[in-house]
Amino acid sequence: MAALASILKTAITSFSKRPTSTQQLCNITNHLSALRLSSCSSSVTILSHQPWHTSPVSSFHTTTCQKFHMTKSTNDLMEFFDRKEFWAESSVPTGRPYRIDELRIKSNQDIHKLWYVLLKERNMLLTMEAEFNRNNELFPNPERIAKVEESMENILEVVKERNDAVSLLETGKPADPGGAYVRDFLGRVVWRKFQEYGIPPHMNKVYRLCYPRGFKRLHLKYLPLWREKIAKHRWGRYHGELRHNQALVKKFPHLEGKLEVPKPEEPKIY
Amino acid sequence: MSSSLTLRGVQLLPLWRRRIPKYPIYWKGDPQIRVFLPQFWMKMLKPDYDLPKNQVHFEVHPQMSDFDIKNYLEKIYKVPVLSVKTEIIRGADIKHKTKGFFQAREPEKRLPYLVLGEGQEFKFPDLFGEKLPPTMKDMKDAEKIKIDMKRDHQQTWERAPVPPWFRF
Repeated sequence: MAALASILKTAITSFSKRPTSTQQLCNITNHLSALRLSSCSSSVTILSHQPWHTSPVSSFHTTTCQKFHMTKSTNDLMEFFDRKEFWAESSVPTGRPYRIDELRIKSNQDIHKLWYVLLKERNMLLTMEAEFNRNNELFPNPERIAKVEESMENILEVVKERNDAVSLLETGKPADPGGAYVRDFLGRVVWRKFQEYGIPPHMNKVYRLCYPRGFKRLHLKYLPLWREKIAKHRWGRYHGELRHNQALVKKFPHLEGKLEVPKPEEPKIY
Repeated sequence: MSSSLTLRGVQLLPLWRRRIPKYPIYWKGDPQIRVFLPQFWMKMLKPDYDLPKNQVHFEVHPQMSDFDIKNYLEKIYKVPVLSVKTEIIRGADIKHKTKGFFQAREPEKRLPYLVLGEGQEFKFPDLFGEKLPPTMKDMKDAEKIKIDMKRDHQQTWERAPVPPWFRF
């Protein structure tokens, strides 16, 4: 907020000092709009026609409009390629990825449109990368792919949040069923991720094979054996390290009493 | 990578390498399941041989079906497609650098060969047809520098072992 206030202040002072040109006003509006599209040099984004650069207009309301990017209306396979002026360039200027806070205040419709812009951009970058590699050339600014992917992941995150919120309102539960620690048929406590099944578990043969019937009293004897096995393994490692340290001390006597090996923890088996 | 809730191992992969999330189960009477945020990717490849004008080669996400490929191009790129044939190619073996034994295998590739719809033509563009590729530009610059250095050496060959700061 402080940064915004400072920008506003500078804008106001510049207004009061002298009649500013439309170019300056345009710059100020650009500063103010934190939500403008990143200035990527894609085939899908082109700068719109800016009449204020050539003809200065004195009225205020014309200055409220700002630079904006427009999707080129070509539906063609050439969308898989970058703009022609960047074909043989060694570096391509790019913007930054969309931040998650910027996406949170966008409407679902806008996010949906943005997803397809990013999807096309990623396809274009992958195609260009393959073509550059085929020609034994370095792909300029390969971090562009990561930037697009970060934006996409942020979109997925925002959509997930919204989906969760709707689900919480409607059902009182999050959309993701999540998971829990459950006891499997051998009595071990394991993490299981829950998921939706078409057939209920008592009729589902595949589910029965994956997750056999619950823990039986018959299998109770295996739990201490398993615990013993884990403890044996840990103590074995401990003694191995001790032996290694003894050999070290034999070679380098100044290490006497300096090497410590922590004793193994008790295996936690419930 | 903002999504901290995903698994660590999955997080290390870029989004386009990851598996597509499962479709929800369709229950009878429900509305048709629609994908609002498709995570598929397609990249166009230069064909190795001359093709008719209405054919193109791609590489796509390995989980994409032929119907997916057709719908993807028709819905998102608005390009009519007549037919799709896909081929799955096994990834190359990755061998140990010095010992040469088999270590791992590169991921498989799905290569669709498309025939475009009526009236559609496409020619794969040549990126460096008119201009010099960037590495060639660098080579030219390097040659220029070499010539300059040679000229400098010819002019100051007597004082060559002395650093330029001491020259007059």
